[in-house]
Amino acid sequence: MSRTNSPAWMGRPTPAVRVAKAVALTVVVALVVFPLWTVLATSLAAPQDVIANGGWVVWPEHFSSDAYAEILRGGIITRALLVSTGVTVVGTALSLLCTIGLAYTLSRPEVYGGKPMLLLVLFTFLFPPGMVPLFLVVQGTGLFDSYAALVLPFLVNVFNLVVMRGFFQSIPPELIDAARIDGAGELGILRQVVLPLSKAVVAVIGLFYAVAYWNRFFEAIIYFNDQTRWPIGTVLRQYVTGGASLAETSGELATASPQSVQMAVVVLATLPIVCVYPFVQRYFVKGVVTGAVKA
Amino acid sequence: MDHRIDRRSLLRLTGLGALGLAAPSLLSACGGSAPGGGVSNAGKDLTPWPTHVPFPGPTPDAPGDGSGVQPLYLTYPDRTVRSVHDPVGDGSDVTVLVVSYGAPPKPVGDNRYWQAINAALGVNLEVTVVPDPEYGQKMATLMASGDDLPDMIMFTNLALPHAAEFVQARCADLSEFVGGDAVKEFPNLANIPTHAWQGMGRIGGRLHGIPLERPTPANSLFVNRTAMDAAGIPKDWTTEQYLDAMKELTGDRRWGVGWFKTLFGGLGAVTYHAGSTGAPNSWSVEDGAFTHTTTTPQFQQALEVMRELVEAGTHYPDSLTTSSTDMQSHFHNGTVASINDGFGSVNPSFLNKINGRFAPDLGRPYGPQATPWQSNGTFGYVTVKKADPARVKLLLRVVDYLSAPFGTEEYELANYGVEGEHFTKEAGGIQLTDLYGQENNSLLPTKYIGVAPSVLYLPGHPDVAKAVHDWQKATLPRSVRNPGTGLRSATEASRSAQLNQVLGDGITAVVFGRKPLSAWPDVVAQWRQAGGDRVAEELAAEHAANR
Repeated sequence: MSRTNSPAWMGRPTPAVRVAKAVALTVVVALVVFPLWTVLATSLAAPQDVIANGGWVVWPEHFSSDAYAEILRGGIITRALLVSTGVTVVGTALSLLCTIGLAYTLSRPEVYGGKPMLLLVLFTFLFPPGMVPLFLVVQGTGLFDSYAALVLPFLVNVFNLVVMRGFFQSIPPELIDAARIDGAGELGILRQVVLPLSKAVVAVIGLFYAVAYWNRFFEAIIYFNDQTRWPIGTVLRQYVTGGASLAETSGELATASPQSVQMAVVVLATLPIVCVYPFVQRYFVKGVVTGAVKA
Repeated sequence: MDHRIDRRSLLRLTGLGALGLAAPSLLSACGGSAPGGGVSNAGKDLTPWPTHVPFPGPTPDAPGDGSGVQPLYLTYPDRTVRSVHDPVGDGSDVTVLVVSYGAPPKPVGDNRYWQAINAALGVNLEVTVVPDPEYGQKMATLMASGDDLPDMIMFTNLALPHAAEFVQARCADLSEFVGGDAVKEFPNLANIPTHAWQGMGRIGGRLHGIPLERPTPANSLFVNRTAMDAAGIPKDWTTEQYLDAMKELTGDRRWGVGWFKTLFGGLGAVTYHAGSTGAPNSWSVEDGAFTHTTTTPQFQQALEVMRELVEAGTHYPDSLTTSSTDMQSHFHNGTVASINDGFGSVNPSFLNKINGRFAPDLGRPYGPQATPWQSNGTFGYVTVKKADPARVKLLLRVVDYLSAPFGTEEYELANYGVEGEHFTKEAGGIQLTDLYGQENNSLLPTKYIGVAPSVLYLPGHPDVAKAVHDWQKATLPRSVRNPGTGLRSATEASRSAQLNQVLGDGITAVVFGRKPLSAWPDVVAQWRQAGGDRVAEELAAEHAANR
């Protein structure tokens, strides 16, 4: 046995500790994986299997892709996917443009009127507008029943703005001064100095925006009268919740889809984001933490 | 200039915002009016209920009656008749806003059902469907949205603040078109039974909508008759026999009672038991004064029975956390032998889920003085936008068409779609096609614009239909109506969620043994204080006016 001077956490753990760690990690992983597996298994089970198992299936006896077929036929989902993709791509691009612009402006100490503007922005963070006032603004600006209603009211998210502003403030002022001496204007500094240094935060904030646009369902119901414009979130939500509360509250004929369809919906709704996540994940911790602590 | 925000300016900001939030409530405090206000029926001239002219439809296999027993049809009528002879529309656009419980409908261009309905109605129906969970919010924005209203709006029974005021101010007064004998111009609306009109109620003494009729039974007890028969349990039971039955059916990971979470958000779990022990349906009226059912000894008896069920362990252990959908699955697969559910569950999809595992039936009330509770007779109502009389009549003809009764061509189209595309007739029954699964009156909810008075017809399951009819005959003659049905109470409209929560929490605590039965009067006192007494007063004033 060798006893060294290095601290305890640097030594090689005993077999017992390693077993304990393995068990603990396995349990944690199982806690995460098991529900996901159940969702996937239920989505692939035949409806009668689901009923026989009391709502959830861990190992389907009869595989069936009927649930997916039911959701995907009729063209409603494909159309909604297109709408969502468009809103997410355009929305994320516009949001990033506006957030970067505003965050950079507010991060410069010498901007005239910067503080009142910052307070104005923070005010909406503390007191977000109510549903009806926001609706009246959307209606009054002629956005009702147009895709812009899903983007324009949500262009700048204050939390994202504050994180990005904090990140920009943490960039050494010497770099910016040097660029200015070299003759760069504000736009040049932003493009050639600040943004290349801020890839991490831009990636993370971009992901935040994209997820928010992708998941947005409520606004489509309030701002659209035309359901052919519904994004995927709204349509899928209807599959999951449709009819459930009806039977509970009024005893109406429940038209809720079988659990297998609901779980297929969950799989379809999570899939795109799950696919994108690994590519942005490496920026994740760095981006948020850096911006968050240096206000 | 430094843009850091100090604590003081943040506090200032907070104070400013708080003022902004407080302002609306100050404003609304100024506008407060007497209970019921202009929408109350108290002191108004009351429009007569529309005259009921029953449609002489196909002869049922067993007739319905005035107590709410539905006409029974074991097979589909051989020959359908026409109930609408004149053209309905003029080719114009008709915008409609309805609630929906299904996926969005396919666009009209790809939707044969929608096209057929448009052709039959002679209008271009533009339907906006509102998902049920967001219905309250959508209506709130609609009411705030100014003049741009749809031609027809469907209101559910959900208590929306100021809905009655909105309808009164912004929707057409239909009294002159459907009040009394005037309704005879629309034969299918005249066929809607009076109880549905009463369930909808008047607003300020006037008729402002067309009700969507629902059968008389309220939330009912569904039972697994096969399991009951195997255990030798009779159809008519006493309280002891009921309790013994539930104990008998419990064991080996099976339970007698299938309660679920949302039943305990109000009176849902008690309905069957209170009806069995003879408690009044929500309210009782004596000398014009309203007394709530929860204050009666019969209601406490019902709670006692439920306590015994819990003490004997006959209920599904996770009753308070299981969703209704999961509990229905447990009923369908035989894990629980009984479940409280809406009468609307008597439908083909329910029977398909059971898939022949057992024979379903409805449980009869157990007490000798039973007063089974009736539903309020409607699912909601449809209003029409203010317009010239010709336009209002056109819109009423649309509702009339969609309200055509069972056995008519119009009913067949509205409910089953186009023959040969959405359904076929085989061996005296309706066989639905795959296309019906994608295009029907749930996905394009025409059934929430107008609906026929319901009948008992379960394609392919005549035996179940017969059992339900027998249950109705045994149960409904004793059933009682909620005297508050169709009466306006402003407090109830604005506070129903809170009031229901007080009762639901109290019931949960008492039934599951967290509080003794003697604590029940405290719950009632809390409910009275939260607004229950005001509701009673407002209903009493309305009741006096409606007599």
